[in-house]
Amino acid sequence: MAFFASFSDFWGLLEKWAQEKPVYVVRYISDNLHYQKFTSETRDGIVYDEIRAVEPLKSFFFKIKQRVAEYPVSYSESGKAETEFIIVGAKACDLRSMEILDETFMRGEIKDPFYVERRKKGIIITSDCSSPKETCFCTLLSLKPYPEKGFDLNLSKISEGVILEVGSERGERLLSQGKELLSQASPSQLEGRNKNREVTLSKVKEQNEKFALSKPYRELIEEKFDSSVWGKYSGRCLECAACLSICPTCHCFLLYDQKVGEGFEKVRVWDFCYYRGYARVGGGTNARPTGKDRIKNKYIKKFEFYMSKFGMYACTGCGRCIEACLANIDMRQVFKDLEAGQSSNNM
Amino acid sequence: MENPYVPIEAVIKDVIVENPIIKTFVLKPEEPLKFSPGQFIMLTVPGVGESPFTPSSSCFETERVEVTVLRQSGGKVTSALHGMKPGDMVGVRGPFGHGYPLERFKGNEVYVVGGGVGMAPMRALMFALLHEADQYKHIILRYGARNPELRMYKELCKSWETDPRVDVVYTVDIADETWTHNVGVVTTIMKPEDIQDVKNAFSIGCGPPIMLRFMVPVLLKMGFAEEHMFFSLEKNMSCGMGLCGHCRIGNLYVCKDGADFSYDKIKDFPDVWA
Ligand SMILES: Cc1cc2nc3c(=O)[nH]c(=O)nc-3n(C[C@H](O)[C@H](O)[C@H](O)COP(=O)(O)OP(=O)(O)OC[C@H]3O[C@@H](n4cnc5c(N)ncnc54)[C@H](O)[C@@H]3O)c2cc1C
Ligand code: SF4
Ligand code: SF4
Ligand code: SF4
Ligand code: FES
Repeated sequence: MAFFASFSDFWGLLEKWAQEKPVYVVRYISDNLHYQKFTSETRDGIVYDEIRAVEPLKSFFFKIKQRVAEYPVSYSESGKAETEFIIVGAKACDLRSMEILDETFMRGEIKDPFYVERRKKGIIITSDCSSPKETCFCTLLSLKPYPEKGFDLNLSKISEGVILEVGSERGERLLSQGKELLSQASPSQLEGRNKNREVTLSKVKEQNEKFALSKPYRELIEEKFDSSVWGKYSGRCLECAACLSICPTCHCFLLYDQKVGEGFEKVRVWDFCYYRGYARVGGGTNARPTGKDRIKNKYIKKFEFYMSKFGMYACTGCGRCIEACLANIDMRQVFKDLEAGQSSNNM
Repeated sequence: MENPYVPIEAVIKDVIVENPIIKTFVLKPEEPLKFSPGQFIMLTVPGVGESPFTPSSSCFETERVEVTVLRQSGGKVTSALHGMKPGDMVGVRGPFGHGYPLERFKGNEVYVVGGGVGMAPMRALMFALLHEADQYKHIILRYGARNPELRMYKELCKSWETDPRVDVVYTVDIADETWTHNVGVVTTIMKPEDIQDVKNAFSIGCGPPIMLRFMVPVLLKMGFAEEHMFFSLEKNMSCGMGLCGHCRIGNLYVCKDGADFSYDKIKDFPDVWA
């Protein structure tokens, strides 16, 4: 089911939603796209297309720092129901990142109750990309730069407004709040959308042709476990973990304990496998003592472990890690070099 | 939804000094703690931190759970624990992991090898095996410590020497004048003649990584099947339940998929003993 709304009618819809629950939209702040709460002030300049925001979508669901337990008084913050919220303008790669995180946090025997609760309450309205960056490589991960399934609603910007596609009952209910603002999308409107999609898709595909590989990522990693390429890249890597902190699929965390008032609390905070202490055990033994071990570890985790455990790569091709890297390390090139068995000299 | 991050309270009932660096803590959890041998718990020292330990007591006693703890030099949690007294409170989450596949062991010879503080989980395993000793073809224990002073569970070990249900041999790396058993690392007391039907026998090893690494060729030479050789892996753990990522090696989470693995599952990981 696809509907059409003019830009001003879509504002009307956003306003209706925002009366009931927080709505986050994507806008430029300085030079970059970020999520911002929808208000009468942020109504102008909402970006429906372009590309993903800077901050990963997971930041809405898996907070950088969260108190997860208070003791000795058995207490559970998860009991506190969260309120519903709406995110408008997540991209295809963002949506994939949630599927990836779901496997870890809510599909196992033991679930993270905080994540599950936020997931239940977060309504994701995705949108088509129109201007991929040079760093975008979703197509190498068998994604298209427009969502095909898994969303509540998807938005496609066309010249005169937006096309809204319904992907779930929840999405349908949202639209029913403003039926009078919608019309059935016309065949020519849908054709316009499909044309835009084609253009964007071929752009992402073209710019990634040079990174195409002869083998799946997983096989390459298994085969090139001892490659000297790892060492060459670890020599460049500063171990700043920028690439991991910005990654929408990294889920590692650390728990720590502290005293508060008369009791204690356990806090969950994002952690990164490029930090030296990450794999250290009592007595000082370290499973990954060198930078080379650690840089390789990220690739094993994302492309071997995740595929073998969950049947998917823990990478969306969003390119955030490439943009973030001060050492100019591009995962796509790392794979190319692994394949060629040498390091490129584009340092 | 249940919150798996919240520890239950446990009172320290007793502290047994095993040796200068190892103490056994007798805990009474606020609710009975059901576990099977080889499963581990996450123990919280309030306000200090949390660490994984494998109960060393019998799984048939769920209201009196013991953990035997080596104080790591400079170790945050283990040092704090060693400073605790009867009456103090700790937190417990779990149990986590699978525990040993006792059902598969039944009817066969079981070859238990413990080294250092790795004897702690092996004691829990021995209790479970001896609880229904007639179910196993033969129970064999090999236990090594650095020196006689650093041995644990001295009285229990002595009682096993005369227990017809179990074949034990003890060793220390460095002996003193009181020592009457074997001298040498634990692999020196692992002999082919210990086992009759090695194709069907199971081995379980727990100890420092270096010991496990040296055990592998010895066990293989004795004729054990790779799928029958179990090892406990020690990796950094934060959550204990497959969420935090810390304990991963290769395509396994040591917490959720282990912490004990048969050799065939782990032999291809270059960093397995690191
Ligand atoms: C499944 C399992 C079962 C176990 N069972 C037992 C048992 O029965 N008995 C026993 O004695 N031991 C057992 N251990 C080992 C025990 O958990 C460790 O000895 C204990 O965690 C050490 O904690 P600590 O805080 O005292 O040591 P520390 O050395 O203070 O801390 C260890 C932890 O902190 C991290 N760390 C240390 N230094 C740094 C640094 N500079 N920067 C960043 N991180 C750092 C390490 O990576 C590690 O996570 C077991 C381990 C596992 C995995
Ligand atoms: S590894 Fe890089 S490209 Fe892949 S999901 Fe993470 S940030 Fe995006
Ligand atoms: S990686 Fe693909 S889906 Fe993500 S922002 Fe770029 S073009 Fe869009
Ligand atoms: S951002 Fe670049 S330099 Fe920093 S840790 Fe990642 S790969 Fe290394
Ligand atoms: S300890 Fe957290 S995933 Fe294993």
